Amino acid sequence: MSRPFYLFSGCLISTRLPFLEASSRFVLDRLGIAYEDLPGATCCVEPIGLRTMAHDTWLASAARLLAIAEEADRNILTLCNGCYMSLREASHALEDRALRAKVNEVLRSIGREYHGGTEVHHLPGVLSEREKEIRASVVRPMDIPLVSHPGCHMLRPSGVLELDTSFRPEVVDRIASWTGARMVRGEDWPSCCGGGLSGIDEELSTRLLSGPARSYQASGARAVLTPCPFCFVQFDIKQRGGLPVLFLAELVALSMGAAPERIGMQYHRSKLSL
Amino acid sequence: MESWLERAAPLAALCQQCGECAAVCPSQKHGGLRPAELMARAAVGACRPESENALWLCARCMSCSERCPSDADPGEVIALLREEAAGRGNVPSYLLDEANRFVRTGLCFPRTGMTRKMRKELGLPDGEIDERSLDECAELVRRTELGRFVHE
Repeated sequence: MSRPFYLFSGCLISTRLPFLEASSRFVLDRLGIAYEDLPGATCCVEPIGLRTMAHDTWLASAARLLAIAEEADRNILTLCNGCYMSLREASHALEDRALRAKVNEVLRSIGREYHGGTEVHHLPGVLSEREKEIRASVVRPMDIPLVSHPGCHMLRPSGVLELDTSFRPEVVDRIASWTGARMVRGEDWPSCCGGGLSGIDEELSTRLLSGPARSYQASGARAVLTPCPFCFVQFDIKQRGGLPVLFLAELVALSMGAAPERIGMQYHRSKLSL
Repeated sequence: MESWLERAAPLAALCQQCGECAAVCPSQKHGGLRPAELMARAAVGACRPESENALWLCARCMSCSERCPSDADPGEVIALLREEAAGRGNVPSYLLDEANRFVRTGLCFPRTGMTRKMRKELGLPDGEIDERSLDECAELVRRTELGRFVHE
């Protein structure tokens, strides 16, 4: 039997979007997936800005989280594409013994060590393995047309993340279809939402967002469906006049009968009437 | 440690200038970074990390590296150049603030009154980070490159 999970919500969800954590926990509980919160969780370190300023800080900080899970004989479950990419890439890099020894020299200064034994899983991946359980839990079929936006860091680098393909990704669509949602064809190579440039160059970030936002608007869908909180923020707050957005766990939770206010749907800026 | 040139140039040297990265890069499409042009210069060391602001216009979507048929990994070359740029003072103030927030609070986004209110309303654990974890986080930063950017 695989090891139980430590849930890692990440800093964007836990601080700005706790309602996405609420829907995720609701779904995990309904599916009977055992988890506890990862104790001592700090930022993963995020893979866009800080990782590129200081590669060794990213690796050591991620290794600390992997070590905490390893000490408790647990695997890590992420709710955020950025955390998934960061921790998964770190765990992959730390399979190299020489590099791990070097990182452990730093980790020992805080009394920790990592031996390479922690697996990193992402919520969409975990859900994609539970078709029967999800179908059996649906009490309110979500009969609405949606277009999926998986987000870059659920897909790439595909050789390390091993979750879906960049060309015509299908995991999010497949999970959504089990809830009764009608998935319309999105982009063959889903474009970047520009979230990685938010705060650095707002104008360019918004221009990037306009590409997928326009194409989704013309798709016939009533909302964008994403498993990524960074993409969620871009579509919920930054775009003007586009489709509303749903987080993947929200869709699944609603289909399982979650009351909208119980999972914080009222905190969406762009309202979706269901 | 090897210089940025020693680390980035061998990767960039694999580039055959096929243009796949340029075709797929969303930043280039909207007037930002030009990855193929950057790879050509990185292969011969003709980059100026201390002054090229465009390095920070990569959204790290990783499409370039995914599509690269030569394993030249443009996304990683850009990351290596950014680390060099940051060390020479060419780094967006937003990221400097983020680095300092990380070492102070363990998080990259601020926990606010709204955070606490929402978490309480939704019946979520408070999620406050304990002192030991904050000390560990700060110690790792002190012992690694991000420590260069932190004001204690």
